[in-house]
Amino acid sequence: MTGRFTVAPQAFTSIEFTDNFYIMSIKHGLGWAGLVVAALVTGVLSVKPVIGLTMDRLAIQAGAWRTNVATGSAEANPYERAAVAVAGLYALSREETLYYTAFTDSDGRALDGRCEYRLAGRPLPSRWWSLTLYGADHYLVANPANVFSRHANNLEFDADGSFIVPVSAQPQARNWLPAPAQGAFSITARLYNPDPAVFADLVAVPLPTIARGTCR
Amino acid sequence: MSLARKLALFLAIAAAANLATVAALPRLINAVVLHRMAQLAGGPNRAMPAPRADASARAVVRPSPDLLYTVCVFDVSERPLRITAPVQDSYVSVSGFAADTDNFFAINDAALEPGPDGVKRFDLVVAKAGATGLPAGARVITAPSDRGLILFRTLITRDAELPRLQRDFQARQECRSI
Repeated sequence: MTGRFTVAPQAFTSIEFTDNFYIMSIKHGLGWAGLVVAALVTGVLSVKPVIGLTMDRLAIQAGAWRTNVATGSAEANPYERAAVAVAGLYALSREETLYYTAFTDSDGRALDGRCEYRLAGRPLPSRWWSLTLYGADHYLVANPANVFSRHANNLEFDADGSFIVPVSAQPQARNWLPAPAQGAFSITARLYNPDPAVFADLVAVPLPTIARGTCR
Repeated sequence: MSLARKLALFLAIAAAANLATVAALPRLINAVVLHRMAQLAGGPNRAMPAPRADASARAVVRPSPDLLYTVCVFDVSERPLRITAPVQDSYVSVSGFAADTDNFFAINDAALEPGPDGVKRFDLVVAKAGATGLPAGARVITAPSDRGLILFRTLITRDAELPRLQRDFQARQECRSI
């Protein structure tokens, strides 16, 4: 039998099975064991998309950047805790450090190593802050300059206190933040000991804008 | 049993399996990482200074290249843990992560009071609930699980500072059973 069967439209939208035996086991009575095994397999296989959907729903979006205030804390629900374990193990709770991560540019397009980007911003309201680039595998990206992050002590600021960070695989003259030559990447802004006022409005934090330039 | 009831049962089992897997995932990932780190350190309750993270770092996802990390896998099932470290003139913190990966404490240099000699330093004790015989006057933190991780984060404000920070501060970050 060939067919398409969406297990639970709301919870498992990305889990579709082609030519599967699940529906057959339910419809044609392949037995309780078949139903239970199929359900268990479905439950386990749906972990990744369900975590993704939950994190999407709980994230606080500030322009291109997103954060989750439950990161690292006992308030985190099981899905938030699992997401942190996979993509941010040993993250600090918000009082110590706020993490904002951008997977897209300011227009919502996924960050792509084939493109050039321009981050424009000002110092972030915290005791210390940094902007670090990670590859799709969540690790630092090898580059000839051995530069993995930009922060107050390795940036050149403009006269008005603002900064521009070009993000690209090709070397840039000033404030270059190297990106992979291809594939997805992300940028994390860390705010160590954020100013107390930050917590009043996590969307209003003046995070850099991310403008896409040319793409190869 | 009707098809509707079978589908309902299917969804209930799938949801339960999903939640059970999600709930177990942090502990599983953490257990693997802690086991690997303890092996590298020669056992639990020993501080292990890590080199500055670069593109070759693969121990933990999304490391900061601007921090020096020192890790200490703790096991306070039998004896409490004492944590000591000097404080440099920039951000340094000590944090604890339980078996389920929750960050159960984080203390940085700004929160420390200078000692009688006017110098700030970390001097903490991590113990399980109900532990007795703890050092008098020690700042005691109750661990929510017997095993977990202590993480020192030392900020590298300038590249030129790296050798001094490694020698004078990171190398003196300690944890040991008492």
